[in-house]
Amino acid sequence: MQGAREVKSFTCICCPLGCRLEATLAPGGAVEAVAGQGCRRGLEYAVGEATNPVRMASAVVPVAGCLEPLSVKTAQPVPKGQIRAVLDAMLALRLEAPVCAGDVLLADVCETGVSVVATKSVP
Amino acid sequence: MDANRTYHVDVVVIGAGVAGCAVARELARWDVRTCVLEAGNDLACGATRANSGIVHAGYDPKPGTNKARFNVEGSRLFPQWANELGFPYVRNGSMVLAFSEEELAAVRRLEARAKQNGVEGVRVVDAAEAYRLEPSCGPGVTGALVAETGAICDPYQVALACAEQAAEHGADFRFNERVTFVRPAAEDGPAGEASARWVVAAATGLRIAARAVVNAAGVFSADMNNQVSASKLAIAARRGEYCLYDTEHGGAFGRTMFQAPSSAGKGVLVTPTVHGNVLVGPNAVAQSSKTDVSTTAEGLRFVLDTARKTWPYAGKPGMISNFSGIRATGAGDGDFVIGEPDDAPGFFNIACFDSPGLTSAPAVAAFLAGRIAEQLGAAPNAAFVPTRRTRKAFADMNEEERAAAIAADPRMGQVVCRCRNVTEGEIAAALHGPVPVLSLDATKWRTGAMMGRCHGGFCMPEIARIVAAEAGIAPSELDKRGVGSPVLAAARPDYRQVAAAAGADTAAAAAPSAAPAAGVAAVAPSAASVATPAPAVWDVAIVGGGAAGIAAAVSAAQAGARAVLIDREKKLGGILKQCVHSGFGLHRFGEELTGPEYAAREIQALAEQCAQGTVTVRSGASVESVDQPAQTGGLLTVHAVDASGVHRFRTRTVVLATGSRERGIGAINVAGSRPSGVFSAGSAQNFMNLQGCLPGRRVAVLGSGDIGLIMARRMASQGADVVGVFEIMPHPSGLRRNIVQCLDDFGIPLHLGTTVVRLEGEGRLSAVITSEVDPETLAPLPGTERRVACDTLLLSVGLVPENEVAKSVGVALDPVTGGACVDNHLATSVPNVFACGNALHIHDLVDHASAEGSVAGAQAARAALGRGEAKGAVRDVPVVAGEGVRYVVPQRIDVVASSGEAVRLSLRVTGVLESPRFVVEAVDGSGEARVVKRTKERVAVPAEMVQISLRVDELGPCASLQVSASEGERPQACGPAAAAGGGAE
Repeated sequence: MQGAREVKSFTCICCPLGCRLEATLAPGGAVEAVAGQGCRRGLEYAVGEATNPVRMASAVVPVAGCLEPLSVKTAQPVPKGQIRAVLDAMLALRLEAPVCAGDVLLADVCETGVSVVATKSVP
Repeated sequence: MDANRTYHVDVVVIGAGVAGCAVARELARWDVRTCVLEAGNDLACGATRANSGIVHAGYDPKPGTNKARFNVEGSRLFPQWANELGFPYVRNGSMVLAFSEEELAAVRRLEARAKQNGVEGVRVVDAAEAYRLEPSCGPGVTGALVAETGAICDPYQVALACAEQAAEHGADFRFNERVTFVRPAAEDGPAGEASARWVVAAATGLRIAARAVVNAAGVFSADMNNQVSASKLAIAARRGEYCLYDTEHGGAFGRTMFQAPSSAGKGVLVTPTVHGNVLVGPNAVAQSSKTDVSTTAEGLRFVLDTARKTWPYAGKPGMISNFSGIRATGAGDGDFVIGEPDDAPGFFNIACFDSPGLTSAPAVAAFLAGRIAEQLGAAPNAAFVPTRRTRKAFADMNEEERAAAIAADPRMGQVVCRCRNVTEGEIAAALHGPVPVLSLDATKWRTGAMMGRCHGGFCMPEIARIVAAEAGIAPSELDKRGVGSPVLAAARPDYRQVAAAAGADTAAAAAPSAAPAAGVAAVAPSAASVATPAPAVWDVAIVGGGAAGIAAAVSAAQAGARAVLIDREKKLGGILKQCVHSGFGLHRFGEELTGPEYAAREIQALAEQCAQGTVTVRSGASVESVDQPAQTGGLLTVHAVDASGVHRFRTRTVVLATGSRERGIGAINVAGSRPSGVFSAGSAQNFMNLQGCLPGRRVAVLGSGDIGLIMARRMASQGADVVGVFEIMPHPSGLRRNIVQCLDDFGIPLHLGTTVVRLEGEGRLSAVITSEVDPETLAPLPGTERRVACDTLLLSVGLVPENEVAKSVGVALDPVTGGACVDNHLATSVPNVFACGNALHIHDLVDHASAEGSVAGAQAARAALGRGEAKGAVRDVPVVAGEGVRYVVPQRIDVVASSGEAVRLSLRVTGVLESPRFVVEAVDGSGEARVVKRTKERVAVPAEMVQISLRVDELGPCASLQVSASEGERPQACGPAAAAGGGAE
């Protein structure tokens, strides 16, 4: 794509309107223009989605000897393209009680710089 | 089972339907060894399971036939059997309605036939009398037959009671034994068989040598007969389809309502059931398959259309299930074939046993058992006890009986099925009964759990856990219905052990001396953590420990009240516990939390109140009812049960925060088979997030509500293949954010304007048939059907406020929201009873439910502490939903008591509106409207609640308020200024 302009389109999630956004990327990946947004939040969303889309990931993980699994999440959003790998890393966890809400279970998951933390406690 | 061995008995009964079970019961009167072989994995797998449940009076069969004889005898025996065996039986009487002169003539012929058959209590009445007896009858009745001895029963329970009594007297019931041949015992047969008369073999290799055979094989009875007799029989299978309505409609009719036979057909019946439902059906459609009990869209439509003559409501909402059964109708003269063929002595038929087979079963059983005993020369069984000790259902017990039952078994205080009020103790007892339970449906049929309006949507995961703990079958091994219908695709390998341990936790947590509850509730308060003794009278009793209930308890305590929070679950937090995704709390906490984290924050605030002794939490306690005070201004009484017994909480005020239920597959009347793999999205979420199970591997989702979208992503995250989300409306029901992040991110297609019209699969779901719909009528469009292979269907087709406790105290409900009608202080129609959260109306954001709980708790405290004033709704100004608005909560504003206050109106629009304008108008006595408030938004959709704030003082004098919405002009400029229009986050 070197040298060519790229247009990426998204559905805005900032409100129920769901504006159809188009972000035009300059060579090198910087956002050159955004079209279709109804408000500034849409503009910001389009820029984020076009340059570095991120998502929260959550899952549940078995705990030895305990029917109720542990719920976990990424402490911050991770790059959207990494979601599958992050989920797989979460699902591979095998834990023993006790676990406290907020405990770091994986530091720097998939080299995203983000940790995976427990979202509840299992005594 | 040792395949090479032959087992010897006196009598082998083929088939454990009501006929086979009744014969086994009657054989117990004699000194004979009986074995019952059943092809299915439970009793009553055939016609007994799916019929009208009617004990016919006997005016219908042709005089002189077996049907006439055994029907009349059976009808007379039924009350005695019900007494002895303890199955549900109600002699409610029958009516046959005539809608024309031709039909009236037919009714008169039935009256004459009743006389010939010796049926008493039958008379013909005129139209006026018919309407007097049954006021819900549709228009056009010309007269009716009334039969006093007509009755209703629960056919499964009849078979079960007979089978259990037979088993207790030594009968040997064997399931999953499909009989492959019946033949006379040969001299040269395997050792020992020569002493018998008959050899019966099953597909498993089991061989039974017997002196007599009873052929009660239902639709296969002709096949059995034809192996041993030259008098060949033929069965023509006829399907009968039914629709079952919720108990809310149970009062429509007292009697079983038939339609008179006419040249147009036999009509369909509308009847109350012994469980308080209304049953509509059946049609009669010849089909080649003797086992396919799928319903069809045409059949269900016919049944409802035909029933409407009797019951004009038929076809409207309130349905909880549809089903069909196959009748084993004889192809010849249609009469029952009872007894030995001339050329097969010792082989006793109960063949061609269609209607009135259920009614006739006791009479046929008594007749045949006597004949068999005589032929075998059997002596009477001196040890026979005709009366069976039965346990009263928890739902039918009074408080003293409940206390005694719980004292004997603490699990009797753990209500599992809320629709039918079935306890863990009853489920455990059923699992350890004399006839084994081999499927989840067997548990359902025996206890009534999962048979109510949510059809297991809430309790199925908990019941699966109890089955695993008690019977040692994990839900991935447990069949829902027939063989090959596993409840789940996968459970953890040690599920049975951890399920049993979790049950032990429940018992411990529910015990009165329990330590602080565990888990999410690591910081949760419990009764034991509070030193302050319980007061004799509480200021506020909150029913329900979800988001709204916790917030209500905290705000009541902050307002100075002494509050008790009663929650049925072990851990507080309600549905938040299983919502492990993030997205909660942006409004309330200014950050995005997962459900468990949001719950933990709320519970922390509650724990602080508990530590001060202002709130007491009673977890694991189910509120059964609330009594109104004996006199105005008196105390309310909350009745609850838990593992330690029955409890009464005397309180000045009550806050109802009982949450909601999901609509199930029955509510949307989808045709087809009834395979496993169909879940409400919430029950699948529970299985995944609270039990670590995988419900299925190839998943379709019906409905694009937020729970469905969230679950589509959860299933995909956990490795399942999600083939699509199907939404009947032309727009999605869930939040835009969820469409993008749950579907688009995972490549899951969303099919708008499409619904599921049929389920396929004999055991597990194998496919759904989808169809596009007409965007106006939402009716399926012929020719657009598509078969989508899948093993799982998740339903996200709406939530319904849960208001059984509200009804018990007489709270008036809003037919649109399904929740209570409240004023701006969230006070219901019953003084000092308040409502909030999803029990009041369905919220999209938990933050709003919490905020509403805070209001309800504060207002209840105010009323309890004498700062409010108990009053009726008479002086309130009604708030009316005008054009474009589906509902508004509150439904009333107490203008007099709210001077200086702000009111927040919560409403939903009827359709998608761009740049909507909302107008609140004050309407005076003469109908004159005056605009009180105008607001605008950028967009409004039915899925997202709109809120409008008003000051009560701005209203001025008025008779009512009307809120309407209309599409405004599109904004010309797109820019930052437009963002000020607001909209949901």
